[in-house]
Amino acid sequence: MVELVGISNLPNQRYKIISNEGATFTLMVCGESGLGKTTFINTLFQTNLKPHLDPNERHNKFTTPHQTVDIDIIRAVLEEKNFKIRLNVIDTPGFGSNVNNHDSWTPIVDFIDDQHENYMKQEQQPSREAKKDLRVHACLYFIRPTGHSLKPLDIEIMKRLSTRVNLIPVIAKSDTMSPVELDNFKSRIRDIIEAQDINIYTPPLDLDDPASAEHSKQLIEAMPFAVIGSEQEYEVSKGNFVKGRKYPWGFVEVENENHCDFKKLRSLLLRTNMLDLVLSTNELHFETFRSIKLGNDENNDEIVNENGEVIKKSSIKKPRRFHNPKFKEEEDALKKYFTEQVKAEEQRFRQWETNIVNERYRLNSDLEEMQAKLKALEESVKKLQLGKR
Amino acid sequence: MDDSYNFESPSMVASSPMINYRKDARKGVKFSFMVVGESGTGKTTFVNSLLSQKVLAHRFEGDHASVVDSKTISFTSAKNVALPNTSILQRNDFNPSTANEEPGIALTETKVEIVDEANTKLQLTIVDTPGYGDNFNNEVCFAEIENYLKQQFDLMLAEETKIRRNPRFVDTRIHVMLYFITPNGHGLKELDISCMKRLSKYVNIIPVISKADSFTEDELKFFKKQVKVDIERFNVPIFQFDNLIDEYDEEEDYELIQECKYLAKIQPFAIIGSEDEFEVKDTKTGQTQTIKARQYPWGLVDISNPKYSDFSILKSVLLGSHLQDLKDLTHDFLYESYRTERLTRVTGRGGQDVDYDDTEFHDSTDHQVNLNTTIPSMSNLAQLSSAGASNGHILDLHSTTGSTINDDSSSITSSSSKKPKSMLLDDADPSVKSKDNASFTSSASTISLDQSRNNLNTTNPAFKRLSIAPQRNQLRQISETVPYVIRHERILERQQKLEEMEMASAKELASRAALLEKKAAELKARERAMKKIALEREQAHEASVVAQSTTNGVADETVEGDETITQNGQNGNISHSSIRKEETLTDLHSMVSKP
Repeated sequence: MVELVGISNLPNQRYKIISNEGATFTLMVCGESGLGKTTFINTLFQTNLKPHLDPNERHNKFTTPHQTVDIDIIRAVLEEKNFKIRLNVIDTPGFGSNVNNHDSWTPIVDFIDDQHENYMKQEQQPSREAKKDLRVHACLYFIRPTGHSLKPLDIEIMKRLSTRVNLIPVIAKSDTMSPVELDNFKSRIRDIIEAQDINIYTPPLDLDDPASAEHSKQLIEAMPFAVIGSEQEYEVSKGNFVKGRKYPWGFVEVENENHCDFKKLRSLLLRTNMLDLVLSTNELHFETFRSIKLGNDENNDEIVNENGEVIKKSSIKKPRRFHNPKFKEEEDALKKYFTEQVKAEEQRFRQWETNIVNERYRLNSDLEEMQAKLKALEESVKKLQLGKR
Repeated sequence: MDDSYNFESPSMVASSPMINYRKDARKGVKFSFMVVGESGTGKTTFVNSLLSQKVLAHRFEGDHASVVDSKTISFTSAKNVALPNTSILQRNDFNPSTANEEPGIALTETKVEIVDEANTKLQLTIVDTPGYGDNFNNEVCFAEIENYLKQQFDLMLAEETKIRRNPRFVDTRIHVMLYFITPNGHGLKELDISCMKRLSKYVNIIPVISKADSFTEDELKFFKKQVKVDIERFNVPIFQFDNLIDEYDEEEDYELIQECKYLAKIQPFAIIGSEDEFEVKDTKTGQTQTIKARQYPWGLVDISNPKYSDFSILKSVLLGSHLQDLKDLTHDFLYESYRTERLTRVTGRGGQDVDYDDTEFHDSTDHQVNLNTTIPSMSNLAQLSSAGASNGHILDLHSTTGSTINDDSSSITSSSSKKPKSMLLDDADPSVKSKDNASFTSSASTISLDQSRNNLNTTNPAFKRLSIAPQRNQLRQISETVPYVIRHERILERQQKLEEMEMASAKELASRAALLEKKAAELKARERAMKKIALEREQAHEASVVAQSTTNGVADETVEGDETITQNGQNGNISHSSIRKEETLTDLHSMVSKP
């Protein structure tokens, strides 16, 4: 037997490096509050990664019902079978919970763009060893289980997200819909996604490998994934603990394929397609961002002629971060309030002034009266004196 | 759950007071309620399961699906634009390509008549609000609902003040609004709070946790607590079940008090709705029973199971025990306060329209103050007149009003304060006389007022218009003018709204046209570029053909090379720009959908 040269060992070398280095994965969860984002994250990684919002805390923060959209980042290192993964989970609390949700997507979209830009800048540095990479590899968008269709707000933000990240739509709390309702809902969402040109992430179909192709196909068919989250475990049979939700009318198992698509989603996110998510972020979304960004900076005038839109957008982009339309609204409101206050005060002062003038006038007339009286008295005194004499 | 009070059978109208019973039985009880809440919170399903028939059509189901016709009574689009493809107008067809457009809000009215076991007719009017909460800016939603509720009050008010009333007038006021809270597990949202706060002036609000089957028992308890905390914290005025407790007799109405206490305790109601019926076999008795339920792979949810759903309690509250309470409260409290406010506003203005030669500021204010207090209701008049039984009181009243006016605006301080003083001095003498008068006519208080006023009138011309005769005139005038003023205001409002809408639509259409033109121009430019490329390619091809045919070696070869290079470059450019173009298209799209 001839000894192998050893070229075939390259994958193994690679394997060693990777397993020593570990990996980075950034996951964003986005959607209205109260759709179980936190629970889902905790269910997905089977740890208490993200603490729930303390209700008392919420009331401390929540002095007015109005909320702003925040970006929360949670960093964690997970270890499974000695393999480490640095996990970043990005949450967007406050999205969609106001009366006016216009531009509430801006902070989220800006955040994603910022990460791309940061990364790009780091790449351009002379020494670029320790790069901080917080580019979002996958974004789960949680859809409220209304049973109707997507809301305009959902569509709007999904459109924006889909050009920037790998977007995976997820139907939250799907245990409120019966299978028939869920099917209808899913097909409507799929129709909208198609009609509105929203690019959701689709796992690649590897034609060489029928098994994985079949798996991908299953995943594509199940989109958007209906999920249920739970952090509690219940004993279904002796010694057998299963995550689920215990209702008075039955027990919903998170990892039961008949109940929800949680398993499929987990497989998509972690087991089979994580690498693809990371790579496609780098190759597709980051490249697009980079080419737009650099393309614009270099040959400005050439592109302006043909499609002014792109230029306009990216040139607006930068100042826009400081001119959040939300702040603008607030500013306007404050200004209005201020002018009103000033007007009211002025009105008051004017009133005061007229009062004072009136008072003066009255006093003057009083004075005159008095003087006249005095004169009359003097006159009479004189007369009397004259008479006396 | 607490079972201190047992809801056996939600008998429909049988428990409403006996006084109303006979009249109601003949004419049928009229009751209107409104369901408000974000879309997808189960409003339609709730209404349908409440009445056990298909009253409202589900979204995307088509109009023909419902048994009863519902008509759209009011409609606003989010951008004040009436465009043909705005989805609310055709909300029953599912159209994915327009799903990104804000639906605005519509109010639809559905009338149903149901007959219960006791053969009592119940005429229900259900107002639905499709589109609520679906817009980017949902301010428009509650403005529209508020407007509608006000309009109903105005109609009633106009009818009431008319001299000749319309015998067939239909009261369209909404008696209760069910507010569906989205089951998010955290608490109320800004939308919920501001909507309820704003509308509570016009309607009784019962908050309801919809789709309670998304909570486990502990979660539901927690959420209820949170909602209660929020309601308290933000002072959301909701319908209180226990506010009438003090009026009941402790012994006689013991059950009623218990009931109210219980209801107040379990509020907000958590409900599950379903239209599907299932046959269930009772494991103990072996009898089959038809229940409304939701079928999940993991179990069957019975919507009337008191363990986890307050559906049957809410049903009995709405259609039985509290029906009359809700109606009375709407009329006696909400409508009455609206009426007072409204009439003060209208007559305050109307009073100035009536041309009296008001020369003195003091007099006109005096007159208005009296107008405000006396005119709005006859009961007030009686009160005032009884107060006026002793003339000293009236004088007191005058001096106090005078002094408050002085406090309010110092401009008229001493110069005008002299006047009433002098009046008082003048009146001092006759007031003694009138006191005598008043003492023996005190039984007929209006007359005493008349006389005391007349007394005043004879002594001081400034009080002339307070005499009863002009007041009657004024009442008449009010009843003549108020309905028209109200209607006029409404028409003006409508007109303004329509004008705004028209302007906005014109603008929107113009911008859309501009966008389309731009797109067309872009496409043309692209086509031209493509043609150019095609031409160049042809040329290049020809050149190469020529080059090959002449076989003229190096020089031509470089030319060809140059050509191909330029071609390549152009190709690259084109593909590049086409990517861009697609991007711009999506951006354009988003721009179109954004105002």
